[in-house]
Amino acid sequence: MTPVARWRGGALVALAVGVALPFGVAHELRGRYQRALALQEATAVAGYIAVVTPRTRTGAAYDLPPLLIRARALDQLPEFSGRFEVYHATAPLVHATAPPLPTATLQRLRREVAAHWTGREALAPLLDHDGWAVVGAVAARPAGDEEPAPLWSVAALLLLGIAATQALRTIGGPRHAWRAALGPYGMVAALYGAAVFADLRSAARATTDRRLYDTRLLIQEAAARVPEVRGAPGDLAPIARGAQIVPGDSGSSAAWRRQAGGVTRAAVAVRFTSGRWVELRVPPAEAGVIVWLPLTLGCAALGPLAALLAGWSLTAEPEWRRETAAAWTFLAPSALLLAAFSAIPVLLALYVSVHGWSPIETARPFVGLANYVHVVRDPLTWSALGHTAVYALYVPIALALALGLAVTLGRHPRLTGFVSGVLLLPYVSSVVALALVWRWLYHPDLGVINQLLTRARLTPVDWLGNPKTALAALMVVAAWMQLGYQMTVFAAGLRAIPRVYLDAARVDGASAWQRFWRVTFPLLRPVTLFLLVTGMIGACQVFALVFVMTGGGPAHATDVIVTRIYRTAWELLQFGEASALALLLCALLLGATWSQLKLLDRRVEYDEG
Amino acid sequence: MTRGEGGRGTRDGWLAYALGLPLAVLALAPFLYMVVTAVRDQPIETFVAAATTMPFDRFLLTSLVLSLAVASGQVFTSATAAYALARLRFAGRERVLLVYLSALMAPGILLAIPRFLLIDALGWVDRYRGLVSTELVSVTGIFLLRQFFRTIPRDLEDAARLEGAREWTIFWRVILPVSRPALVTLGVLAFADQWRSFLWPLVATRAESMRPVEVGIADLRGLYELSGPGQMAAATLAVLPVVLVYCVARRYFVRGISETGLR
Repeated sequence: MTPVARWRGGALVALAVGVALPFGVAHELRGRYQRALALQEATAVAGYIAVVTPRTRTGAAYDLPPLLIRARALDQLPEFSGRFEVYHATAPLVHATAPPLPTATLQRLRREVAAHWTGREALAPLLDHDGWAVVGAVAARPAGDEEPAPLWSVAALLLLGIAATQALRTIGGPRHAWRAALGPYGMVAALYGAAVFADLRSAARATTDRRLYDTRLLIQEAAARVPEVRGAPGDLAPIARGAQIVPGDSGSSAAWRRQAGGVTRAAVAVRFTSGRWVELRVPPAEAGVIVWLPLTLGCAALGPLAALLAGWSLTAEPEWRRETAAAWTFLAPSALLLAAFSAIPVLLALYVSVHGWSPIETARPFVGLANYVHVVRDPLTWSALGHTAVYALYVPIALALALGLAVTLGRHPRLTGFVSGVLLLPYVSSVVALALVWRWLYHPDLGVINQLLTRARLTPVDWLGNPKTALAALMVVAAWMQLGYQMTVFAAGLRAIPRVYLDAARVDGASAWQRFWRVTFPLLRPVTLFLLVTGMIGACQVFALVFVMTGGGPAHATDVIVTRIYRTAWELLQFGEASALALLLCALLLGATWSQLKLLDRRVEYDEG
Repeated sequence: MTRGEGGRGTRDGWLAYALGLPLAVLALAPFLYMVVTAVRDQPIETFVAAATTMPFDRFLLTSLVLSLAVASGQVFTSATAAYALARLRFAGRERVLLVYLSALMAPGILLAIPRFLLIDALGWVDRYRGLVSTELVSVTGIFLLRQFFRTIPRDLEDAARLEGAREWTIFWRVILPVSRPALVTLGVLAFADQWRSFLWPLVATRAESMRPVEVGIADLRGLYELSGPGQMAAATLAVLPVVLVYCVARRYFVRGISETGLR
């Protein structure tokens, strides 16, 4: 066997697995929905019989002849899709020639008094009128043959066959050929995964619809046969187990989906008597299907991935192949952690942001862009954005200071080392502890600053308590914390400037001022830009300092965007809105971050070159 | 650098000292205020009160465990990734660089919400694994080490390669031993960063006993049981470990900061 044939075979096997697995999963799930439907139908029929069959004169048991007639009549009903059998004790009533119910099964029903799946059919206990004793059973079989054919899947499978043949043929051929074939192959495979999912979803939907239609039929039949229930829909509860009967309006005969109390419900209008309608509601079976989408898509991707691997392995040099494998084992720890704790959370944030999501509510309805609209319309968002923008202005101010300091001290390495070493102390130590210290320094009565002011016969200021000064007071602390960092970076930047440039400028008679603006500053521009961009990005995300020193107060005067998000999430418990706001912040920062990436990227390219 | 500057140098020197020294004092003033207030009268009682009002020993222990775990984790993940990105040629390398860089784009608060939902679903709230697992990769750390690894001469590697060594052997025996300064730099920076980190520990813990010192002492702002000197004593205790680390490893801090800023 040649390597090409081996790889082609491997890719084919992967394709087969990738096709069969979603199909198998879909088949299994359809079976599950069918079984659930059969259980619901059996229960509903048992309830129907209990409602419509008159009792014997002496007790709560059913009168046998009417029971027989009702059961057979239901079986004759053309629109009723359930295929069922009613047992009186163990005797079958609908199909007289059918085998009787095994005694053991009936005893189990008597013991458990709950519907269960026997392996072939769903079996629900038939209770007597008073609900005291199990007098028989109702069996219902899933109507497997009536379900819609998976048309989308079959169509996508045909396409997939064509694309896969193309792709597999090019394996082992020239590099550009298999690369070109891979794109369509991948797309068609994704289409296949989506199609399997779509069919699965419509199958689930169909079972819910069928349940609604059959239950409606049973309710209408019961209302026609037993006049007493027309006035009291509550008596129909045994038919509609697991469903709700609520007052409703006249409506079309088709079932629909609707939000009710934050949860999507499948519902259908039921005409009760002339002019009286009720609405029958059930939880839709398709609501939970979405969790299978990653599986069907993931399985479908197996084929193209194998083709990619095969094509690559055949064209790549052995050394290159080995090194790639080694490199990916080196990258695995960081890549897996980043995927699990950064990539997935970002996707989750996107998901949460379009849902009404609160940790104390179980219902998490899809709300579209409502969260975004809400935060954009909230004036507090805008004031927080404004405060953040003003706060971030400390960065250029501190930067100018740091640059001036670094240049002035630049010729004295030991002094620079000492001063930057001292200035770095606030940068490296604990933000919260220092914020506490500054709270005391700013204290209106006991603070050192105000005591000095009083001694100088000036009016003391309530720095953090006054909305006009609070933000500025925070900016001073932030600048104090960042100055050392910026100065250290500038000092390193200055050291990197070759002496000859400055010497040449001096020889040309340039003054110190000119030397700075013409030589030093242009050469420091990348460093300055880096500090400015990263500093602004950091300033826009300030949290701990504000949280500890003012908590966003007084009167929201220092409410910045991240404290706003934190409050929305962990105090108002609106995770959806908080995620939406965080994503908006991310979008706002994207411009800044993008230029930062460009800076880093250029450096990367520079190194590569 | 001052040499050869002549008279100008001395005048500049005077200006530099006149500017630099007062500024250094000013920068230190809040620290001095903190320590002086804490020890001014009855220092022992003050510190005892600070340490017993809250479970301070738990705070410090949690902070220490967290910072050590995160620092060593980041050094490991950064070193392996940086080695691959700096020294190996492989399929998908450019894309990995781009994807890793784009991980820098997500603000911490954006990640905090879904990460909290994630660890809550896993039952990791109030557990070290919940606090640590999200912090184990530092993209800046990866790029810091990658920068350093690129400067290691190829000859060292080639010699090992001639003897038949493969990537893992080269990584452990050649690259890591010569990179010790860079690894220590990343380690101390990561340690200090984790010690300072506030938002994630605040979100990922509910029990007071699982809070690191930074989150624990934040409660002091509304706590009036502890007097001003007591608060300053608590702040001193919280700052002390990381200041000690800084004093011991100052050159690593300076080197790391210069490196991230310039490269």
